[in-house]
Amino acid sequence: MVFRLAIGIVATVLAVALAVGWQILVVSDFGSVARGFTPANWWFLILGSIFFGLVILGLVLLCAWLIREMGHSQRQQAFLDAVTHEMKTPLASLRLALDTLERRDPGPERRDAFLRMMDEDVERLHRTVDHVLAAARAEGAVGGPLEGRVELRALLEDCIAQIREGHKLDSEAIRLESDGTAVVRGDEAEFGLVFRNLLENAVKYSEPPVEVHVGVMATGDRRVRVQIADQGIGIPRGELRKIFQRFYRTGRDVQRTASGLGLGLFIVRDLLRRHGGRIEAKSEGAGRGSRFVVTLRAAT
Amino acid sequence: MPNILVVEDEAHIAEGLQFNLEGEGYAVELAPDGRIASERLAQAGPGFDLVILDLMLPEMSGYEVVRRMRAAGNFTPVLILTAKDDPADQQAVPPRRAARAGAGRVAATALGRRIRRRRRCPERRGR
Repeated sequence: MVFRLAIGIVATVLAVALAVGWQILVVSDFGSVARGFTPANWWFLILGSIFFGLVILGLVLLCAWLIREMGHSQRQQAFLDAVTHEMKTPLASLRLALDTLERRDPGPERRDAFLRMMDEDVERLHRTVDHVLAAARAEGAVGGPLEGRVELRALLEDCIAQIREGHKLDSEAIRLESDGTAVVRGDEAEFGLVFRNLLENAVKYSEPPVEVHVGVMATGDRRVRVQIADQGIGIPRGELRKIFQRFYRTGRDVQRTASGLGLGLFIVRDLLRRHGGRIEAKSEGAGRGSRFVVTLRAAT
Repeated sequence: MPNILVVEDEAHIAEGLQFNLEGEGYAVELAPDGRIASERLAQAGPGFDLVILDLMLPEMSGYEVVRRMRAAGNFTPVLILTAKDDPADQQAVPPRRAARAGAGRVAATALGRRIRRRRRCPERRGR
């Protein structure tokens, strides 16, 4: 990849040098100009300039395309690694637990602990498979906007309860502020996936004690805004948009101090777009928490 | 009682290994990331009889842990436990440095066999 990029860059530089050098030769050849600039000279000049211009343009495009592809394939590789890890780890853990229970009698207390661990492993596998499938669906998603009516407060309470249970958080860790009247248009299951993903991230990227704030407010233009704010590690300014790309993972993820596939926010953004909604990430910078603002269409 | 250091960030696998190894009569110490493992190994010197090592670790990779302990003259046998099965990865740790229990094969019986074999033929000391 680096080799191909180098070829592109060298070729671009060469073409620019040739174009400049060649024009200097033609234009500065005053001897021939003094004898009269023939129509053939003019044609050479014009056509040559156009051709060189095209060559340079083509090479620049090629380079830009290559750079983009390199980023994409790197992210794809990182995704494959993450899926491999997220699937094989719980599988290995399950196999180890099964094997242990088969070979030894751990006593009732340890047996319960093993069963609990196995349950969590199955849940983790389930989540990973769900994410991969949702991303695959998002890829080919067409169809018009979905027209169901979703009561936001009830849905958010559900999602918050699930995340709280999954991470064993107390009731103060995630607070919801909503007047309870907001109803939006769309598919309840898909919005559930959106909010669970956002809450999961808010918790995952927070150092304990977790403090997440969820706010719902109606805006004037028949839209509803949901804000999910955390006091976590924040997002560097340069990454605020990149985090929604498929397979993108932040520096912390790449070193794998946090688990994940780099799919969550991609799925979130895709599902919201499908519903005519949008999402925006805001952060004061690394270490200063982040806010995700989701805008949805209010039901009439 | 032979001493084993288990370096594994996944709590479930670490606990499962610990339970099984203790059942086999080994003393087990757990390290949840590469940095802690490396510090522990530097402290203990040749105090461990075997290191069971995950490759994808937070803070410091398994490769780096092996590299550092070998550089410090610690030739305790290392058994690598990994879910990665990329051939490039398989070559990254030469066999002389560590033996490997392949792709997700953490079955306790197989592991027990591996450990006994690994401890019977420790690698050559020095170069």
